[in-house]
Order: sequence, then structure tokens, then C-alpha cells
Amino acid sequence: MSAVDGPEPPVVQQIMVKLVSSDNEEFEVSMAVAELSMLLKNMLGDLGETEDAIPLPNVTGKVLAKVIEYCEHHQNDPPLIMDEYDDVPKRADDIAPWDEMFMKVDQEMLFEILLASNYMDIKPLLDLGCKTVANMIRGKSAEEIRKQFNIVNDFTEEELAQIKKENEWAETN
Amino acid sequence: MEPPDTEDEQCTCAAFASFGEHTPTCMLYTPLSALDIPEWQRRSSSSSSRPPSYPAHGVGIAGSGGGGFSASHYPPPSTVSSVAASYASTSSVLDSMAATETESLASYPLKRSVSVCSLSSVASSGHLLPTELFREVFMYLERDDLVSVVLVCRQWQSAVSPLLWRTLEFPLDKRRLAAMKPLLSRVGRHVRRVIVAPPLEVRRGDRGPSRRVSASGPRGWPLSRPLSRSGSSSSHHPHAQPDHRRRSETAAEFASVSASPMAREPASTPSTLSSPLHRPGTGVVPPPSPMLLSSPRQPSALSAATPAADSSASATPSFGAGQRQSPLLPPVYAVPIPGTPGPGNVISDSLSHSASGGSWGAPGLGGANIAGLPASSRAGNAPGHLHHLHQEISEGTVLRMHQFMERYCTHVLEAVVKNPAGISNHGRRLGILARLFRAYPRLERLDLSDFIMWDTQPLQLAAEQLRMLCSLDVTNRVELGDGDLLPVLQNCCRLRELRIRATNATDATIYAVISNLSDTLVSLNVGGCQVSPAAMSELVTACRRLRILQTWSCLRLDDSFLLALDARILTQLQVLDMMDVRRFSAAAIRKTFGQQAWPQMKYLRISAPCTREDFSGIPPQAVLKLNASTILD
Repeated sequence: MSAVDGPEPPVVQQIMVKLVSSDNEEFEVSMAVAELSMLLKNMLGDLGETEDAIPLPNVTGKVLAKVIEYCEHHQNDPPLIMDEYDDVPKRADDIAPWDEMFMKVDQEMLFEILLASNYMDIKPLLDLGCKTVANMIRGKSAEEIRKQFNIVNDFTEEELAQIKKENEWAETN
Repeated sequence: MEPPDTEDEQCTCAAFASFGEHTPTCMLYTPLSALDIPEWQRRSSSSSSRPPSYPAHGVGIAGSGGGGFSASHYPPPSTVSSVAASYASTSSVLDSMAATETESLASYPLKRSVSVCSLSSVASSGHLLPTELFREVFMYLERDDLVSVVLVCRQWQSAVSPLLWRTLEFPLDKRRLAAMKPLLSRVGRHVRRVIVAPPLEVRRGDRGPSRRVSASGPRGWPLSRPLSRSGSSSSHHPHAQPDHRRRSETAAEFASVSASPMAREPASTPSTLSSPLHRPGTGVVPPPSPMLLSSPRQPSALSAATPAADSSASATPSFGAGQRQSPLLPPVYAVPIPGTPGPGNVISDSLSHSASGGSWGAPGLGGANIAGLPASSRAGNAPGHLHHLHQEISEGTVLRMHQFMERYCTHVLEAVVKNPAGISNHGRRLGILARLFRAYPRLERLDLSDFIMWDTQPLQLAAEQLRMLCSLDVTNRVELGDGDLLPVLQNCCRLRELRIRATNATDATIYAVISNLSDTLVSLNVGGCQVSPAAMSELVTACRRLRILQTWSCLRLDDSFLLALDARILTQLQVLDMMDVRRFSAAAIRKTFGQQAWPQMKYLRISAPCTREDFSGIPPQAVLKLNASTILD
């Protein structure tokens, strides 16, 4: 996370890693791809070289395939520097075209990718998923948002009025 | 504090037993120092700063127990582990409770580890995503969207509240503070950033939001202000918070003022309140006569202001309207260009000359004597019988602010202090800072760019009290010099971000940075400061962690500085902004940005007689502003 090291020795990238999804689908990826996931990177660092397949009990094969697709496309990206200087709100309009196409999935898949990227700790993919969902929310009223995501309003009218009143105090940042 | 469902704990812990620092999501928003503070320290700080009034309710009684702290409209807090509850809860009762009140209170944003739930537990709770993940999503939204999001459902409310209430303004106004109490009791624990604002606001017409103006009142200050400590344009902050509320209160205040027989006249609009022109001879016709400028030096003349002048003043157009309409308004007002000679960046008294040249734009920018006008119109310079109607910020108001902060907003890490107009007493101005620092000794970020400093005491105080300080912003505080900054640099060893643009900092400051902060400094803005290429070269050689370096208008920088930029040292450099520095040669550019690779560079602004081809070491996706002529280029 700190300094950017030089190019990694090619030997490391030759090693293949086996992953097993929750529905027992097996995937084989290169070490470089697997290490985009901090979860896998840490586990691999702990386990050392292993022939055993690594189980990912929280991710289905369908989703894992999608995640691997992302990682393979992004395996040569420069390492992300944690940027705590980024303002809140963060920018969501900087999605690369390939990523945008990649995220053109149904809502269920979108949320599954978010959960998987969180579980596997793949920060760029998590960011991408969050941006995508945020862009689906932006500019909509509460009712429109509920409709979009099929969410039940569990507030009472009084609570809504109270929240609206409080909202007037909210600052812009 | 045992979570009701340990399954979630296990599912993380099993996988990360040996990786205590595993952070799937919450690294996204990390306070500056979080990476540096040892884990035990963070834990203790967050738990000790948790409001003591959170009792340890069991899950079963959480619905009925009295929180004491939370308002009756909401279920009282429970100690259900936030993540566990919001992810894994299966009962709908528990679920709604979790969604409203149990998100990570003490741990946001200090939270460092999140237990990762299984998909099935999310599904069983009926939520699309765990609350934590929704919060990550909402970080990409702005206030106007967040106020819609908070209305969607309880889980979303719970996810968005820390973002929506991250920043809260504390007006130094007795009544407004009092009105905030119920709100604070509900959302105070979410507040991470406080803005201490003067009670003053200037209406800018009906269409635009009113603009809060902070200004220093000249009253009570020695007239022979040292030239090196002139005022600043930042008193009129271009990014002033728009006002969303309290217009009615403003009107009410005005009503109380206008109840005076003297100011009764066209009191129909609150905007009149902002008229700065309650001074003899200046009320009727802008531009003001030079007498306006000299008036602070003649306090007797001020106190002799007649009621007639006062009433005529209230008949004139409001200050805000004047600002908006005046064609003479210098553009620097809208877009302050750092480091350039302009209002606020002027160190000598040349500002007064320009003002007395008859420009209407200059008043209001001239530091205390003029920037203080709106304040003084209500504070001290109005005739004596009006004086008592104005609410000068009392000790009691400041005390109440302090109490509210300590009681309700215990997790604050950042503070912005606007110039406390309405306080004429030097000690009391300082007292605001003292109380703020006492309430938040662990403050990480401090923005005093709008707090006019009359001596070195404010920063001395910060240096003594704020050992956790990571970020200091004193942009445009032209009155600051090395003597102000050195104590902070020497005492606050965590400083990572230093914004001293358009101050009087010189090489002494730079060398102090090098010797004290070379291991921590990440972001530096020295725009407009008189720094030498030698000092800056040493800085970029010593401060290996620099990511952001802004040297707007550091006109002395030359090729020697450019050649000192070493990509092997500054491996993380992301932003390099050298606007208006014109002494770079194409050869040095090629050597620095052509022959060295800067893989992290995101933004480079530079002026040099060369082309984009000379920047082959900059990643193609980085923004390169070559020979930009305006800051908007």
C-alpha cells in the first residue's frame, strides 16, 4: 500500500491459483489476477504455495466468473493509493468505458458483485459497483428510488415529516 | 457488547484470523490519522468518546429502555453490534431497530474492520445490501440526493445519516444554538466536522441563497494594526455555505432591531439587515468616501453616529445587492487567485490606497476596517441605544456551544472556525478556539482560513493543544508568518496536510517542515509564498510521501527545483500544480517529466515553452494543464 515497487518478478505471475465457488464451480486464475483480491492475497501469503483450491463460500460461480473477468481486465492497473484526501462526496462520473459495459448487468447481479467485491476485498471493483448504484440513485426522489430498487417504505408519515424537517439543517458537505 | 449473532464475527475471523487490519470497505473513508494511530489507541479513543449516556441495553429491552440520549421519536440505542445486526438480523423488530439506531456509532469513521456477512443473511434480512455497503454507495452522492435517500427506508436512513450529518454548523447565536438542541440529540453523534460560524448573514436577494459573511468588527481593536497583519479577503469566503434555513429567524432578529424607533423604516425585508452602511456620510451613495476608510481610526466619530444617519442607512440598497450588481466589483472577489497581488493577498497597506481610489469593490475586502462593516452595523458602531439590541456574542453563547459539542457531538475530528464577528474582545476570540480545542483535543483537521489572527496566539494554542492535528488550513491568512507556523510545525508531529497558500511563510517554514514533517507530509500548498528554489528542492527531496504539491505563483521557482523532482523519491506524487511559475525551461521539463516515469500522477499544471510530447513520463490518463492562462483552464 505504501510505495510502488518495481515490476514484480515474472516467476510470481506464472503461478496459478484455484478458486472454488459456493456452488463448487472451480476456476483457475493467475496469481497476479488473484492478488487483486486482498482476501486472496492475504490468504495466499499465509498459505504459501498451495495446490489446494481456495474455497469462496460466499460467492456463487456465476458471480465469481464475473469478478474474475474484471480482475483479468484490470490486472495490470497501477496499484491504487488509498486517497483519504478525496472529498466526500466522491466522484462517480469517472467510470471507464469498459467498466461501464462490464456493469451493464441486472440489478441482482449488480448487488451480488458488490457483495462479492466487498467480501473478496477488491477495492476498485467495489468502487465501481458503488458508483454504478450511486448513479442509479442520483437525481431521484425518495419515491422514485423505492420504485427503482423495489424497497418498501417502512417509515410512518410522522417520521417522514420529522426527517424532512431535520433535513433543512443539513449542510452541503 | 456481545453481538447477538456471532456467526458474522466468525465468518470474518475465520478468514482473517491473522489479518487484524483487514478492511473490506471502511478504508474508503479514513480519517487522516487513522493509518498512523495504533489500533489500541484508536479503540480506546473511540470507546472513551462514546457518549456516556449510552447504556448497555440488552437486545430484548432495547425497545423499551430509555436511552436518555436519543429523542423519543426514535427507538433508543441498543448495543447490538451494528454490522451483525443490520446484516444478519432475522426478526423484523430487531431489523428495524438495527436500521435506525445501531449503525456503528463510535466506529464511524474510525471503523477499520467490517465483518462480512454471507449473502444469505442479507437476503434473509430483506435488504439489498448491508448497511455498510450502502454507505459506501452514498458517499458518491451529494447533499441534495442524500436528503432523498434518507427518506427511502430505515436501513437507508441509518446508512446515510453519518454522511448527511457529517458536517454541522454551530452558529454563534444564542437562539439558533438553542433551537439546535433537539436535532443535536438525534444526529450529534454523526457529526465529524463542525463549522463555528458567526451569527451574521448577508442576504443576497431572494433568488440566490443568502451568504453568510464572517467579518471582524473593528471595535475594541487597537487602531494601529500592524501592517503585516492586515485583513483578508477570505473574510468574504467565496465558498460560503449557502443558507438553507433560519431566514425567519433572521427576520425575527431584524424585527427586534427594527423595533428601535431609529431603524424602523423600510424594515420589510431581512436583507436590509445586512446593510453595512450605518455610518455617517457613507450610507447614501456608494462608492463610499474615503472617510469610510478612516472611520475606524476615529472611534469617537463612530460613536457619534446620529440616528438620522442610521435610518438613512437602512433605506439604502443592501450590501448584498450592491455586491451583486456593482460592475466595479473586481473579479478577484469571485475567484481569488492565490499568491497574486489582490485583495486579501496584499500585505502592505496598498489595499487602502486602492480602496480610496473610489472602487466600490474594494470595500468589504479590506480586512477588519471594511470587512467588518456588516458586523459593525449591528455590533458596535451603531448608535449606542441600538448597541444593546445587538446580540454581541456572549460568553454564555460560546459556553453553550462548548457544552453542546461536548455533550452531543463527541466524535468530531474536523473543525472550521469562521471569523467570529460580533466578538470584539481579543481574549474572547481566542476563547472560542480554546473551548473548541478543549472539547476536541483529538482534532485532526483545523481550518482557520477565515479566522483573522491578530497575533501568534491562535496557532500557538493549536500547537499546544492539538497533538493529533493532521491537517491545517490557514489559506489566505496573509497576516501569518513563520513565527505563527513554527510552533505548529514543531509540536504537531502528525501534520500531513498543510495549506499555507498566500501567507507570509518563507523558507524558515519550509525548513521547519523538512526537519519536523518529512516523514508525514502528504499535501502541501505554498502558493504565493516567498519560498526559494533551494528550500523547495530540499523539501521535495526530503518529503518522500508527498502526494499533492501546489506552488501557485511561487515565482522564484526555477529549473533547479524542477530537476530536484525525483520520481524515485516522490513515488506517490499525484498532483503537482505550479500555475504561474514561468521560469521553467523545456530541457528541464524533458528531463523531469520525459525521462522519469510518474505512474501515480493525476494532475500536472505547469507553464513552459514545450509541448505535450515532452511529458511522456506522465500517465496518459493524467490531466496535464500546459500553459494554462486562467485557473479554469
